[in-house]
Amino acid sequence: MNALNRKLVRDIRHNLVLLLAVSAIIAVGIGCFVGMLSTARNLEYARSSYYSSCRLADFWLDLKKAPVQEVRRLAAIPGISEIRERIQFQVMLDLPGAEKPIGATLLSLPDQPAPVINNIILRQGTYFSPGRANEVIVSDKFAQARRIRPGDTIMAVLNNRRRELVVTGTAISAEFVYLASPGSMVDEPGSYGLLFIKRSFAEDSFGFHSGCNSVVGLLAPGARAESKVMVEALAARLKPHGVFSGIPRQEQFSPMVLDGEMKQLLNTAVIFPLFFLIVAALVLNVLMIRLAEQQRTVIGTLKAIGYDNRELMHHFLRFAAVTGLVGGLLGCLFGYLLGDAMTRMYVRYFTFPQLTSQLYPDLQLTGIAIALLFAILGTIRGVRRIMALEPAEAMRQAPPPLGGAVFLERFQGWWTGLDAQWQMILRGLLRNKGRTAIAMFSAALGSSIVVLAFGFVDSMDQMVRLQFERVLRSDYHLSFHDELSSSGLDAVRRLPGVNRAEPVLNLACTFRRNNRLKRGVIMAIHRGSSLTTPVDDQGRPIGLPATGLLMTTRLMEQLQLRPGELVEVVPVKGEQLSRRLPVIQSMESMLGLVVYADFHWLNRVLGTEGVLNEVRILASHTPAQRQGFMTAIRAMPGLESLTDLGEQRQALNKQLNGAMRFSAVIMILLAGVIFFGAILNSTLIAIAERQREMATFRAMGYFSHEVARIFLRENLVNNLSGTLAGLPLGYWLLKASMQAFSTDAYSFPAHLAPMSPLYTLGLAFLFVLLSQIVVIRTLGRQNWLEALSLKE
Amino acid sequence: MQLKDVHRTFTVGEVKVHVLRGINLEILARELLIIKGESGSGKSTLLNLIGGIDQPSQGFISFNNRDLTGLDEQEITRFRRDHIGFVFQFYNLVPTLTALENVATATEIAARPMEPAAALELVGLADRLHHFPSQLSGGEQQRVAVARALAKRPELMLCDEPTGALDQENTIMILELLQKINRETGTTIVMITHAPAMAQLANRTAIIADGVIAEIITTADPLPAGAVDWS
Ligand SMILES: Nc1ncnc2c1ncn2[C@@H]1O[C@H](COP(=O)(O)OP(=O)(O)O)[C@@H](O)[C@H]1O
Ligand SMILES: [Mg+2]
Repeated sequence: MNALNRKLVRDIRHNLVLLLAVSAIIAVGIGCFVGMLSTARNLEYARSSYYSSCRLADFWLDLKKAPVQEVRRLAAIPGISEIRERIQFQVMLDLPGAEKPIGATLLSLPDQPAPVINNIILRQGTYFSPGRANEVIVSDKFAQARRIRPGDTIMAVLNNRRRELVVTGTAISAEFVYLASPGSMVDEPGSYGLLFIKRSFAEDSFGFHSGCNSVVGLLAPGARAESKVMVEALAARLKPHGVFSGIPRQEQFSPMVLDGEMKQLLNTAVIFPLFFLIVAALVLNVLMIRLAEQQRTVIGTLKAIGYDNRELMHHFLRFAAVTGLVGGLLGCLFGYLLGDAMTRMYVRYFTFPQLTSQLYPDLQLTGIAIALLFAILGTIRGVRRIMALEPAEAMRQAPPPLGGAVFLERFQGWWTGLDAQWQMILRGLLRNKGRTAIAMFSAALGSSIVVLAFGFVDSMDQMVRLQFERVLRSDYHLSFHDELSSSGLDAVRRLPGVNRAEPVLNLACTFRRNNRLKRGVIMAIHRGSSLTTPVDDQGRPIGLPATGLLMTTRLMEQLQLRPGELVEVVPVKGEQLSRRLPVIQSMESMLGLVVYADFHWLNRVLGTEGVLNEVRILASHTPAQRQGFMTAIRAMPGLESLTDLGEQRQALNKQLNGAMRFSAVIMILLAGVIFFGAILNSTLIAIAERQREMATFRAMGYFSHEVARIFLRENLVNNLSGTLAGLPLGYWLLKASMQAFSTDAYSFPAHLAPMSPLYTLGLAFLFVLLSQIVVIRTLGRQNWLEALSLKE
Repeated sequence: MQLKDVHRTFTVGEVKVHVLRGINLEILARELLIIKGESGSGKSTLLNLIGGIDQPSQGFISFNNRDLTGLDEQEITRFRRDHIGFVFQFYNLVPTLTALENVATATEIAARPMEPAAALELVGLADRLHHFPSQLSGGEQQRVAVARALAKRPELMLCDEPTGALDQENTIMILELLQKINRETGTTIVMITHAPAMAQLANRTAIIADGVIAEIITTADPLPAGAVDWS
């Protein structure tokens, strides 16, 4: 090893703590980058192989009922490469051991196995047998949660008749990577079922001989970019058969959720690490400039001896290379672990035949390259100084540090009131403006991450609270296949334990304005309803207008509507008469793009009177009453679904508590790395630079802890002011993230609990105190006498 | 080495400081030349110009009939690397390298260097090879610096107040060492000093005043450092 490299090794050893702090910050950034992108790739590989092995459809059309022959002819349309028709119903199941009826999606499959579109992958048991009609294949996740095995029988209400179904096997389907009951966003295993039955049995049970109500298909590769247009064209062709919805793959619930999650991962994987890498580069920048100053004469001497700039540049860039490399390698390790943990977490939420964590050498190499890049960026200013240094200049005494008054001293009265230590601290901070700014900036980024972490949890909590305490105060929702009259409502009111029951009329429709089109539902409720309350973005109740619509802001934006304007509404069922209805006001909705209207007004608009298809119930149940209630509901004709809101809230809380709180804790720890690393760096550098000054204090009779306090105060000033500046930044990031995370299916209001900024300040304080331990230990090791007699 | 009408002006803010105002000097092969002058008279500035770590504002400096002014950064570095050895007042050793490694920083980039250990032996530090600068006395550190300059067998050694930070005993030791190098290896040495007695040690003494060489004193028979009366 040559002498210069020896010097490098020893310089690194001397600055080990500082360089390790930078490496740690880099490692966190690279770890997040590698980890999240690896996770996204794991998901991507799992998804693409799953989608292709199940032959996932490019589009879905739901209809009232269409003849199979006619649907099959659609395959001849240019751009359509294959069409499959099937029968699909929402049904209620009666499972042994389950106290309440459970909703499920029922889908037909060919009697004999065939590689159809949206095929299943068997996990247990077998496909249907030729002999028996009433066979069923159950979704594997549901079967596991409900302990259903091949050979078991389950009871289901098909077309208002209770039927016994024999389970032949369990399966998974690419169509339902994420399965949530309609109106809920949580895939809570066992709470909502997915069943497959023979096509012939479905025809018999629902009276669908050579008919279908679900069309799925594949597009020719060239037509995929136009999937929306294709779907509209198909919907137009099938219009006489009552098209309820036409959905391209990217808008179908499960692919959309998965897609959203992956986009989020990719975005986060780019933005989040950037914070850490920027801080690392800035901190390294301070360190290298300090090193360049410290080694002024050494560099000048080496130049005088005959080393050229290129050799010295390489020498100093090696600091960057080592720091970056160590950071990058640690980051790869951390990234792999993070990717593995995140992938495992996704295994719990998403159903894939196989989702495993892989090592991606190209991502790791990219990570290392990025680490090196940022390390070099952080070194460049120091290296430039070294290059610019003239050897003759370097031999001269370094110019004395700037003296003179700082601007704060203009506030005479206040300034002279400060004690000498504070004056010294403030002077020091203001004279090293660049370094102070970097310390504050690092603290600001760190605190914005902490705010973001708190904000995620706060926003989720707020969402759940708003949704279940303000918007929906009911305990159960019963929805029905067909419209009921008010006598149906009375029947529900008489059920055991029901305190209050309110009617809802859901009108599935297409909203159209100019050429913008959106499918949705108008939810008509009583004005002054006590169980359902529309709210604004602050969670304040909004009164329901007597006429016209109250529409979710996001939907209004999509339709480019302003309050007071008219929107064309075409119901998907019935005679599909187009009507122009006024949009009165905007509101916020967290689950789905909800549109509210007055119950009587909508009935009037539709030419009906008191018609409803959903009942919302407030109940107080003794166990016996609950049992009676459930039994009565089981017997209720035309029931499409029963939603237990208490259970839904619990499931939501469970999902959020697990994933969100865990990642919030991780984020805070990672932000701690920024705080800790940045503080350590600025303090250790300050200590080294001011050795002489500190030695003089010690000689004058200051105790070690009094000297340490100077640095503590300095760090507190820097970091607490930086943290304060980070609060609005964090809130802004929170808003941006919440906006980015929002989809048509769900959106979260950005919310920061009043205590969260205080906690953030508290944490910043804690991080400063923690790094103070290192400061005290370093000061304890200093040799004062040597520092005093040290020559410049 | 030849300096012709060499000027050097520094600009500090608005003010121009005309430090050297027309130096004419020939440095003879194998001589020991001492430069004297008041503090701030421009001795270091002159030495820096000779050593190629600074460029004159005006005038010519040539080495072996080659003009040094107007060389680019790369070429002037090459020149220093191949021909010049420096010794500074405050030794300027790399604190994180041992004596041997400090010497190696010079030998590793030289064309025909000595072994670093041999250079250190020459300066009497054979038993201090693996000591760090902080473990050496001032005199020892300066001897390492001399070894570092010497080890690459330069034609010209430039010493800027090499004993300025040393006590008398160490001063004598360093000066004797430099004399010995000059005599035994024939290395030309230019040395700055302002101790009056020094003049007796050198072949010639150039005195700088008002930015020019005011006087050159030639000593027919220089004394060894030990024989000079330092009091
Ligand atoms: N790089 C520089 N910039 C400005 N002034 C300089 C510079 N180098 C030297 N000087 C000035 O030139 C004068 C001569 O300096 P120097 O050659 O170091 O004197 P000395 O004879 O003491 O070695 C001094 O006044 C010094 O301040
Ligand atoms: Mg000088």
